[in-house]
Amino acid sequence: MSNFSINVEHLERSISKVEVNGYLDAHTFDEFESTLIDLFDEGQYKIIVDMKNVPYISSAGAGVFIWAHGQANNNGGDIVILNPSANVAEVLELLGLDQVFKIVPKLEMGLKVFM
Amino acid sequence: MAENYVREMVVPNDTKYLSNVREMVTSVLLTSTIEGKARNMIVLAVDEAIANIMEHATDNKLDSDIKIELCIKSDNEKFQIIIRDSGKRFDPTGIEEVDVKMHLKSNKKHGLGIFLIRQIMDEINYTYKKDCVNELSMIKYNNN
Repeated sequence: MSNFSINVEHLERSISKVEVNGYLDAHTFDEFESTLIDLFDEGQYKIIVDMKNVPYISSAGAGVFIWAHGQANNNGGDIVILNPSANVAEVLELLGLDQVFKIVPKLEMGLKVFM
Repeated sequence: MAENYVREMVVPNDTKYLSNVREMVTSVLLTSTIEGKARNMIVLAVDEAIANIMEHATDNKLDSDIKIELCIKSDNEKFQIIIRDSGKRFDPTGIEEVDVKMHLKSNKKHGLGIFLIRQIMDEINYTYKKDCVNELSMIKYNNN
């Protein structure tokens, strides 16, 4: 079993960075979802999700991204995926999410998405 | 190279044990002739299948009375995973094909697990046994 944690950092121009650490699966997805709900409740819809410390994602985790993408887009924001591991990128690709989400290797590129 | 390798595991009906399932499947895959990306995808398919059972077998309530058993058979020809559970009757193969593009447009959170399993595995078969056991068999043929 792995430790799962999420850190939220408020950046410039109402952009938030959500750093996810650990497996994002059917056991942990609801914590990720709750974090995003809290941000949406605060009116934060420009979100960069840092995935460098996520070695694995299942459909439960991917489903949160799909839901959040709609929520953010409907409110003038977006969800950017930062630095996914090869394993995570493969799953996103299999689901076709690489065609939907902006996936960037560096934070600076993520910030530019919201300019 | 594995020949007729068999490994079994009883999985407690709690999603916190999914990581243990993935570790076990990975360890068996490492003894098989299946390589690289395909290994990761098979681990994902097993995770999705068992997470589905945990979600549907008890209407989302933890129930220690429900048994989930995982059996892996591996040889030079194929990698087979058999999952048996004593939960509510649930045939994942009967679920309609998901149109992922429509799924994305509708912002649905759930329902992609079966899509992934179908994408990854070569054969998926479900049977409901007389003694109230769901049995799901998933096979990946070794194309090397």
